[in-house]
Amino acid sequence: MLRKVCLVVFFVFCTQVRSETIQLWRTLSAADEMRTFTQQVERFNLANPQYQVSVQAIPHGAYAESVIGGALAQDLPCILAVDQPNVANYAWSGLIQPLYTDTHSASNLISPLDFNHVNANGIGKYNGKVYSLGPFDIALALFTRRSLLNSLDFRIPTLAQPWSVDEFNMLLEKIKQQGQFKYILDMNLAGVGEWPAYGFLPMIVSAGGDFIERSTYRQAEGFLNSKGAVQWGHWLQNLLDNELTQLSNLEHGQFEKGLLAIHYTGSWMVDRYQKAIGDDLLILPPVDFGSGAYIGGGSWHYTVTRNCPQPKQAAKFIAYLMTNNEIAFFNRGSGFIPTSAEAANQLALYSEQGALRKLYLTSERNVVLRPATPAYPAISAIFSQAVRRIAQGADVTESLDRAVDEIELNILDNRGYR
Amino acid sequence: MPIKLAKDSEYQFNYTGMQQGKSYARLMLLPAALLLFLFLCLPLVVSVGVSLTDERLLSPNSAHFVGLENYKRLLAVKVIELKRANNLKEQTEDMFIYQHKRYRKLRELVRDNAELFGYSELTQFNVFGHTRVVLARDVLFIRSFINTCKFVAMVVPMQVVLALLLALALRRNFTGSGVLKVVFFTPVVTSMVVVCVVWTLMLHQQEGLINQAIKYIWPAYVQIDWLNDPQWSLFAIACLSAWQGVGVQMLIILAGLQAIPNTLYEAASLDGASPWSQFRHVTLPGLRHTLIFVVLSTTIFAFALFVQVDVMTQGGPQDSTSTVLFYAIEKGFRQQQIAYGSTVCILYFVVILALSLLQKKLLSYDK
Repeated sequence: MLRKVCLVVFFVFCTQVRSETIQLWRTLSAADEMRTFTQQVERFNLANPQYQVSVQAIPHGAYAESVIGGALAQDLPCILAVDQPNVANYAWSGLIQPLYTDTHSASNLISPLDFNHVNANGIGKYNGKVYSLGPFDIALALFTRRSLLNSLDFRIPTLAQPWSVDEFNMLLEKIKQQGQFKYILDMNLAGVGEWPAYGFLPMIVSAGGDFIERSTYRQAEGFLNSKGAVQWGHWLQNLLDNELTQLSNLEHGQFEKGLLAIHYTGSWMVDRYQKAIGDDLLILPPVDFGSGAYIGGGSWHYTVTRNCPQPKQAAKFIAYLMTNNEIAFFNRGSGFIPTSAEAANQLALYSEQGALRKLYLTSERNVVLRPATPAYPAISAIFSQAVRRIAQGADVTESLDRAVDEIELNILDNRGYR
Repeated sequence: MPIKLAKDSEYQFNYTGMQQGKSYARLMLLPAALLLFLFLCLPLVVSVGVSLTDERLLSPNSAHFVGLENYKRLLAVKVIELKRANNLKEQTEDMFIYQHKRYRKLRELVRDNAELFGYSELTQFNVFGHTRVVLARDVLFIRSFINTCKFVAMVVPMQVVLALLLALALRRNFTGSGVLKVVFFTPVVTSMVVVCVVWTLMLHQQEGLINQAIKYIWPAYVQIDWLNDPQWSLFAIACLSAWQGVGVQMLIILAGLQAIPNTLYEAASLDGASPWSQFRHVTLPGLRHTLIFVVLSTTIFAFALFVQVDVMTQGGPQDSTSTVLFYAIEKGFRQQQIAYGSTVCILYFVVILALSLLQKKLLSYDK
């Protein structure tokens, strides 16, 4: 017996010595997501004993700073998780390397077969090259109660026919008159970080605006301060003035407690709300501001860093995560939305008859990706400030004009991000 | 007069085995000097160097030497004169004339004139029917600087007076005075971020404790949205900062009070001095050096305002709480323009140094 144990220990020791370690950084997230990911990593390591992927989970709030610090100290891991809108910036900065350039390139780390099945929101591109791949996405939706809409005798919107903004305003007014709810609409206006850009760009695009012109990515004038964007700003201020929405409130779990009528937020709340109110929960497509109901797309992706000594092996791990089976496995465990049709069909929630099929379809079709320019982190920060100013009552046109000036100045300061 | 030591302490003093030589002192100074050089002087020199370039934190471009461009951009201010053209009755919109051209918005004017590139409006004023507009290239920096000065002007008197009052109230040991000292000192050892989060809840317009308490005492009070009203936000932050920091100053002043010999008070009361004149002619002069130190240190801390703004308002509403340090971090780190951030810091360092020296000179004019 003792001899066997010794042999096993010796064997494990040998494999440990022989295998190369591939470091991976990702954000520390919810327990079930982390558990699922760890299982995937373990399975990969068992199948590929010569490389060991080792995961380091960094808290969300400190992630961007850690990456900047790691980059300055030349101490980045081989595989780096990146929020999809930042891919272009990291690529331009030279932190990460392309996974796939074109058919003739000898430096391709993966083949088109590894990502042809993936939807647009699962692929991070910059300058025509694929830099990142992501197995999951989240979706924006309006959460409300079936009983509320029934009692007001209001139409339940569909993906083909979402609520128009006028219809939505009418609904909010009706809910207010009915007086059953303390708060009417929550859009997380005090949200910081990526939320404002993620949550409100789809509305602005639907209203006919955008952050920036999307072919040369140099001009924001006429996009972020276009008529549509200004109208959206006035709409927001109108809601605040009429107390149909709040800048911030202190009570937690308002929706479950029946204090809040409609919550505009991401699909990460589905589970919690379903547990709280069960069948009464309605998950609806966002409001149509003119050209359709859109949601933001692109969540956390995986990339290979520039200084990685084993890029082929690192890319192999990413390709493994992106197989249909693994995409399905990850989203089954985490509850997120898969980024391929085949994976969606494997999941009870997102398949043809699934309860959340609608969410998958919106994320496949009605998705607005954030502009793939190295200027994006700056654009997002500047836009968040503009939203905050508008919400706090500043002049809409002035706030958006100022944001446009700041974005264009930032692009100029970086020599056009060439 | 040479200091006379008790016999045994003289013995101790002479036989600690320490040499009093200069070289020994230098050796002892070395670790501290090395650390100061490494973590203070070197970074300062590097930032001066960086501030003369267009270096970025992460960028494929190599840094170019740009001379004083960053400093020029920070400080550039221009005054232009406009003529109003809205005296026509049918015209509802505000029109104005600059160099024989009509504009509807100041922004159109700036974008139309190459020499005004990059400028935006800081403020405007009217003199004899002519509108003058002050333009600056970095409006937010100038606003942030003004905000910081306003904050210092609010918080320093508030904190020092409060600390003095607390110290006077707690100088005599009565039952519970120790508990009270601990109570006033607790906020100092509490994490600033925690304090800010708690105060954010307390300052909420409808559900916050502060507004509800005022409303209870004074029913006619219209609830102020402290952190979202540009007129009040900085004041709210000043109040919380004073509350958080007052314990340190209180302790220092308490120590200063202990140093005033009791005999002076006895003599004063024998002379029939009222409590007020005792305070005026014994306590205050006795506390002079303590107070100078307290005012100076509070001022320097106040200039470093950052955490409260970062946690509570992010510089809003309408830039009313943006401070220089917050701006430097925002530009230098979050927007990755490290050269520009360094420029802000260098300039600010010079300003604070000058102000502190001036303050020291004014406060201690004679021996």
